[in-house]
Amino acid sequence: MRRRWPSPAGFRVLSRRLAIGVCTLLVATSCDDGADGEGIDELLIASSDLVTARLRVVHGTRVVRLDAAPGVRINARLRPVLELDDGTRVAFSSDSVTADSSYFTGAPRARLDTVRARQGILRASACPAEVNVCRSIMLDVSIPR
Amino acid sequence: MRQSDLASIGHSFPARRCRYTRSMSGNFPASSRLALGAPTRHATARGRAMPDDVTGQGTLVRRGATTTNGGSSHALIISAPLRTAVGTAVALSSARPASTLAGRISVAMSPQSDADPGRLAPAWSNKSWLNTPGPIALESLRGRVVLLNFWVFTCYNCTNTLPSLRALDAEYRSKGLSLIGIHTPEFPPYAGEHDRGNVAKALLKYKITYPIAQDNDNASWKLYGVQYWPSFVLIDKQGRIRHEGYGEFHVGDRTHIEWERRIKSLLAE
Repeated sequence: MRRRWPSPAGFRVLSRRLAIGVCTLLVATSCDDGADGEGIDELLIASSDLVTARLRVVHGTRVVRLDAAPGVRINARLRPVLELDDGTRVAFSSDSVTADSSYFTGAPRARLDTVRARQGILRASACPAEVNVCRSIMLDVSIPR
Repeated sequence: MRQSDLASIGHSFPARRCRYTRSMSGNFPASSRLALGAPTRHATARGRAMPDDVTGQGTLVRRGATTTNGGSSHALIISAPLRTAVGTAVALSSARPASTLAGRISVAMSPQSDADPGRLAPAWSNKSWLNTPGPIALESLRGRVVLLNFWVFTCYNCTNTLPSLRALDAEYRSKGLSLIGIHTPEFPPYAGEHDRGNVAKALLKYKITYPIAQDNDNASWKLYGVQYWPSFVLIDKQGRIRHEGYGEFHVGDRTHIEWERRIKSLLAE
């Protein structure tokens, strides 16, 4: 029995659809993932002129990531802390710090594994490099479950 | 985390950030790229100094005064139309964060000379002191020039400045300068900054021998309207605030030289 292959035109259509599908898949999986390479949703939970805090869910765990504005360094000697309304405190940490351990070079993160509180205060010491000072940051945060 | 749950507590959803858009949109909302000096929730919101150079080598200004540059005071000459345009900024200078454009303009334009007497320095009432047998009252320092340094040992910019302060102390203590460190914590007590033992260790580590007051309730910080670590206040022999500034500096740099010039000037009065 003779087998029928798709015509060249039909093959192009199939190929194009396949290409679009593959590209869509690639785009979907390339979304910013924080640390673990898994695409996740993220939510801005606090922001100031010096730092921005975003909540992400990575492998089912909520993680808060703190990003410094351009030209601002986050003090690693005084690690940022999330003070929650139920009295718990969650410290931020990062493996990436300057050689003298004074500033974070990577965005510090805090895992909220067991946290149930929905409100809290984010404290950080942020140091604008332009003027060589540190400022204390205190921001209200709302944490969705 | 469902979108409907988040919306119910007032969250808005940013666009899903993917790599192909991230490089174009950046990590921060446009507002976060604005000036660094917008007040935070607890800020005292009273900017009054400005960086005196682009390298950020600290600052040295008089209260609402002319900026100083390279050891000589000068007023910013500005055209009349521009002066009008920034008039509002000048009027609001006392409440304008120092590092905003308006803050820079307002400080730069404020006319004040070295001869300005300044306001009377408020008396601090710190109870816990180190490197001294007992509390030191401002009143007891009348007749001496006093340099206050607001700092905390967890602040890198503060500890970087300590060698410079040690040098000033070594050179001018016997000539009438009293350097007083006001150790003001940034975080609540759990961070360890309030602990007297930790402060004592820092004094040993950085070889500080001048008196240090623990300002654990931030009372002196608020009294002097300080916003940044490190900050400095220079008080003359009559107990008046003559110069204020903030920011790290080092032995021999322009800001150090300028502070030294100010100290010598007040000692000579």
